[in-house]
Amino acid sequence: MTKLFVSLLIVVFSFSYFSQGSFSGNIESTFQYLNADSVIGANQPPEKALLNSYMNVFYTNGNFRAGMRAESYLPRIQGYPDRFDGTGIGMRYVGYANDFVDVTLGSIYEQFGTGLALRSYEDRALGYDNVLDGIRLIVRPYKGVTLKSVYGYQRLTFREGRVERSDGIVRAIDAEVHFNETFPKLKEFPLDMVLGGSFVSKYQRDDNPDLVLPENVGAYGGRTKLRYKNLYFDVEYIQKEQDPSADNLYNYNWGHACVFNFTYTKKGIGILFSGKSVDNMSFRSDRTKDLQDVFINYLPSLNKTHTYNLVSTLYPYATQPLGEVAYQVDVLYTFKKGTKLGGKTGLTLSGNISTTFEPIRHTTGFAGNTNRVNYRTVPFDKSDSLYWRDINFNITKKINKQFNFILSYYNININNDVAKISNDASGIIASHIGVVELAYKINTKNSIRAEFQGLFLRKKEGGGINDKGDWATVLLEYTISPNYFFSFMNQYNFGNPDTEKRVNYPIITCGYIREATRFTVSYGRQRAGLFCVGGVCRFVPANNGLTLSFTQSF
Amino acid sequence: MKNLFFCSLILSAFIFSSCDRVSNPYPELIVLDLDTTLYPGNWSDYVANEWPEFLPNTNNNRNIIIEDFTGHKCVFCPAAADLAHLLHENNPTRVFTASIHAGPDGKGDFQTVTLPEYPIDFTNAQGIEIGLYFGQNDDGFPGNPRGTVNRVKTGSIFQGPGSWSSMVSTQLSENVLNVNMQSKLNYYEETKGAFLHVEIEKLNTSITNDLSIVGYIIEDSLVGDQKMSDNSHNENYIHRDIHRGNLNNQAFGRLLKSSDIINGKYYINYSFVVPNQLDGAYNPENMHVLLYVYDKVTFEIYQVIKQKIIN
Repeated sequence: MTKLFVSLLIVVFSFSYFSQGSFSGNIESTFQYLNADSVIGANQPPEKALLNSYMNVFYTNGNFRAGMRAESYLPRIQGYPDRFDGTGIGMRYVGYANDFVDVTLGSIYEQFGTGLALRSYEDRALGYDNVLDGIRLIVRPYKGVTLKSVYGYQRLTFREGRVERSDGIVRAIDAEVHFNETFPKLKEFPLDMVLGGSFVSKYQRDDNPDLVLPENVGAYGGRTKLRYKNLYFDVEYIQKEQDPSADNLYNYNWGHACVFNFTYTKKGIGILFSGKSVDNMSFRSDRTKDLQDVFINYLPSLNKTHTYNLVSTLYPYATQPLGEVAYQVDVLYTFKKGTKLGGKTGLTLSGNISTTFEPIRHTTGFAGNTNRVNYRTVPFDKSDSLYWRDINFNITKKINKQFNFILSYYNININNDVAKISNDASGIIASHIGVVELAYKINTKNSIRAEFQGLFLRKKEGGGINDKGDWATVLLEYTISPNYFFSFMNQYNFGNPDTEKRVNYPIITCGYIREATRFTVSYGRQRAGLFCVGGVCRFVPANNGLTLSFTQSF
Repeated sequence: MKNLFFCSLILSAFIFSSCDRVSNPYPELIVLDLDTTLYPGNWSDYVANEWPEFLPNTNNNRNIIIEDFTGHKCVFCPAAADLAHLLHENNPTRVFTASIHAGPDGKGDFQTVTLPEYPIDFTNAQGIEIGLYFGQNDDGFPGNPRGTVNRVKTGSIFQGPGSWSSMVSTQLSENVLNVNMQSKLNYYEETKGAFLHVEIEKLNTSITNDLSIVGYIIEDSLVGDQKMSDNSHNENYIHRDIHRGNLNNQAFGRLLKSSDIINGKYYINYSFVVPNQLDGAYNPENMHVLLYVYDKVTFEIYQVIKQKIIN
């Protein structure tokens, strides 16, 4: 494979030398030097220093394209999957596209619809990469009609500089029709309509001596997207056939996932209402894997992505592929300038409520079944067992050209027995979080920003403190445009019931940016916890030390 | 639109061929316990009076089994079957034949039923499993007719008929007996049941690989349909030594374990119902069992013995 890839590179570079083509890409390198810190439970790795690096290179020349990513873990930084090590090629592909076909051979990132049936993607921050290694063919046989097919093995891990693949193979097809393009009579029709359908199948040998496992497992369904003036609606429903796995304790139930979004937007106002119903939808190309390994599909989170430190990192919610029913309402309203509330500069209010519940599993009549089908579910049939609830409001106000502020309140309830976030808590962890963000522009080049955050936990019924108690965070950031920024942040766990653990987590960060180059240096403590992106999470252990990072785009 | 039609066709084919549905998630139970109900009386009487005792095994010869992988629509198979039968007739007490109707894909074109000319299904689950396994593993075999001679590997385990005679001759003359076997069978007409008792003695103690014992139920002969070498249909062809399945439904047999040892010898017991002939008639005199012990790593069969249902 390495020889093949070297040959590929030679071809690609020859192309670029002898003809017109363009390269683009980016580089990122993160270095950590870690100290032991018994107060926060941070260990010093034997190597003391850790280094993650990668470089993407993309080449296009007319209809031809190629790309690759070199990766290096010497060894991996803290929190990355412990199987990543070595230096090598983590992704590579060649492709050709014209108006009719688009073919890619090699590493393939692809998503059908919202991803409920298939999504292969990469998130460097999470160390998540379920890229498919194989072939993708996209055909556009008719105006507005797109057919996709994907065939390949998923990346499981990166060991000794080589990608190791999952045990099972993934086969997938998707069809989508944009009616307003396909049928000329509908071109001017005010209702924009898209209809699609997916079918994804995985094959994995049955090597279980105790059960007869389905070796070919299919998931399929349809979706539609409708847009009418300011209204937009999309819905997707995917059904998965029998897929006994370590996740579902080898039950033979079918699974389903359904997501819908309804939005209304016009200048100054935005309303979103979303719903999601999931049951038994852990769909992996290896039925024995767990955590974030080799998921074929993606179940989007239905809660707002927060950015403030205490809100985003203390109690994030990880999507529950085995089952959840979730709803979200998000409203944004801007009072125009010159109105009573808007004043001279306008005022923006936003509110968001998201909830997630356990689905009801009807077990009547299933007792004593020998077919390992244990229950029946109905989409959106929820119990009153709460997994997650987030109620939050923001007020954004610009006082004048120099000064603006954001006031925020968050009420977050998370069921620690289901979406495990802490070893020091049980049941529902209920928190109130307030944030004040102030930004002041000193002049055209210099600005300062400050955040003051407080998190207060509701006491347990017996009066005890659930989890680690109350927290406060202060962030100060000074920016000298366009090249420098300096920030200082301190998290303080002032409410910890164990007074010895009332610890400060100070961290200072400096950065230098020049065009597409960015250097940052940070030194300080980082709390252990879950790091989540879009409902996909990884655990990051506590650490104390120096972090240097370098990024470059070209 | 024509493109769309073809794409939909491919899509449908893909969808309907890509899901397995399992109604019974538990594998078929392999019953190793004896079915005592096959004895028409009190089981304690059987144990007290009819459970056999073995005398010292006086056999000094290594016997041979030719597994002839065949098919009733395979035009070159009759010649191979004739050769296997000839090798048996030349040494009737030491060379035995099992005609396994299976190909490298399990049940292939040569084995399928085609009405009205080839109405009998000669295949069975264990034969297909063996064919499938060797179709994909251990050098495989390309198609019918192919066979094994004690599954001795000379290049590969599977050999064309052209090699069978010399292999049989070599093994008969070398006569290396690593494992000795003897058996006794009690048959009860009332229940059509049989109890088979086997004694196995590992003579070559340098063999450290696991050993397994397999029992093939064999139908001596049946007149039926066969496609001949000139592509003609012969409805009066004599099918010989037809493999009808394995004891306990175990394609690769039962591991010999230390718990099976008494006084240095393995003792294995089977119970089974003697099946009807493939034409539906019941004739236990037309049935026998081939019992063999093989090496679990190399697949080599160290000894095979023939046990008639009715002597």
